[in-house]
Amino acid sequence: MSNQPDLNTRAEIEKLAALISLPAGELQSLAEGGAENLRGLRRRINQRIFDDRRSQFRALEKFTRLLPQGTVAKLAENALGPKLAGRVVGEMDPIRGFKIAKRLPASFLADAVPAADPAKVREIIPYLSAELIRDVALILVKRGAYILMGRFADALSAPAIRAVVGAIDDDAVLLNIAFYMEEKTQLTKVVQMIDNVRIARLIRTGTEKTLWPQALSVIDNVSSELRARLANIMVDQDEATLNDLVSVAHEQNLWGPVLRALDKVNVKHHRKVVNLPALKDENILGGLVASAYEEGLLESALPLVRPMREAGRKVVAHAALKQGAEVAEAALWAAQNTGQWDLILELAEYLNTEERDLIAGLPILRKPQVLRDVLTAGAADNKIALLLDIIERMDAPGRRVVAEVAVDNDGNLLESVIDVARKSGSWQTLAVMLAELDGKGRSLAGQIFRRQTDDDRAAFTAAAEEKGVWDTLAGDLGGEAA
Amino acid sequence: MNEQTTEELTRLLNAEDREVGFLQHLPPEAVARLAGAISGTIETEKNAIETAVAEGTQRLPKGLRGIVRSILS
Repeated sequence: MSNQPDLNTRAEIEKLAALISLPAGELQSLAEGGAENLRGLRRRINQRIFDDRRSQFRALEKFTRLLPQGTVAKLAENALGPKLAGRVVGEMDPIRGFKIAKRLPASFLADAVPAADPAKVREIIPYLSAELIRDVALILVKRGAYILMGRFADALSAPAIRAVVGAIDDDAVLLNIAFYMEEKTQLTKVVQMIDNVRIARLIRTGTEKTLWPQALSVIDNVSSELRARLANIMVDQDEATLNDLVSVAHEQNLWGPVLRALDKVNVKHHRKVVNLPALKDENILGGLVASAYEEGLLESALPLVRPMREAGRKVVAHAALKQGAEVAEAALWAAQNTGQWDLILELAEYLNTEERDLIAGLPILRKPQVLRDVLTAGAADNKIALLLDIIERMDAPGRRVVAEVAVDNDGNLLESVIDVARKSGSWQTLAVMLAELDGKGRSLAGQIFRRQTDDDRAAFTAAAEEKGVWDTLAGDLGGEAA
Repeated sequence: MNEQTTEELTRLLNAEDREVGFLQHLPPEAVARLAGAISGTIETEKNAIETAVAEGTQRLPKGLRGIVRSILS
């Protein structure tokens, strides 16, 4: 997995690079600064540029008020030129700016827009006709000025958005403009103004390998409801296309947006996605798990394991544990918070000795409530034998907490453990565990044991003697049967 | 080194410390390159405006040329 920055940071680096005329590659090491800081810096640079001689342009703007608007427009076009005109318009109130701008040809406006204060242009844009906006946009598209267009896209009126989208046939262009949009929070509003057929086409175009980042950026920045709609279009592609998504997500560190999208996808699509051939790779799944952890998405990622086939589940179990104890701990908390211990226990069946040792040492498995939930899930899903194996790997304090939980509530959970010990012969693990209890706990365990059959009690006694803990237990667990 | 570059940038951009402070924690070489490019951009833009003013005023009708020149000088 690469360490490429998130999509918003990537877009910000490209915008900053374009502003200061450096190749974006040279600014990659600034990514750690994050999108917000980079955006702030870029705006500050812009501000500094437009503050230069501002008082003079303000004075010139004041002077132009003495002239008829038509004359000002003519002077702008024929004498001042786009650069000066942009600066003067940048000092006008929006209504007057609009009245001058509407008299100017689209080609002139396309030249003047980069020279005007973006904040002021955004104020004027809503007043301009959809046709004029469209014509300017088409010129800017020809120049590949996507960053510039992204700066103003969310300021357009609904008719202007429809006119521009209708005039630009190339979906890749629209995706690029959206990628650079200044106010991504407004993307929902913009997308909602585009008709359903075109939106579907846009997202399908975005599933071409090179455009996945742009498509994901759109999906990731719209409202939850709209994200669901777009994500469903995204996953309704053929297997080869979705395999591309997996490799692009892995190569470009895009698991965050992918997981957020999948979280909104209709569950009927989950099976198809999680069983993709590309997702059989332990390295790729490891990257996915690590990203899910880093972005706090483990709770959303966990349900995706359910529809996985067994082979995939095995890979994901090993891949997750390879990420280390911190990630494993977080994954178990995700299971605890979302009530998915049944799934974790299924995955745990695939773990090898070292992996089970790691699980047994996790701090989460020292929490009484967590252990209560795990044991309850284990009892319901016939996984107590597995749990006994993990308990056996725990240290003494860990075993004590398990034992305390087991004897709680009149020993309901202990009864389940005894049932398994009877079938699997794992009395020794049970004996060692109960030996960690204090006097009160052993007394409770004794009450439960007195309800058991003579055979069970004899087997337990023999196991406890073998493990050298019978002396500790005999006083409480050695009495007559009830 | 970063601290000095950041201070220079703060002055150049008339910025608040918090607006450029994050650069102090980034690789010095990249920050130096960034600062150089920002400085170059501002200078280039300044020159472009100078040129545009000179050329633009020259194209104005004579009656306006002097007034606009005096405003923009």
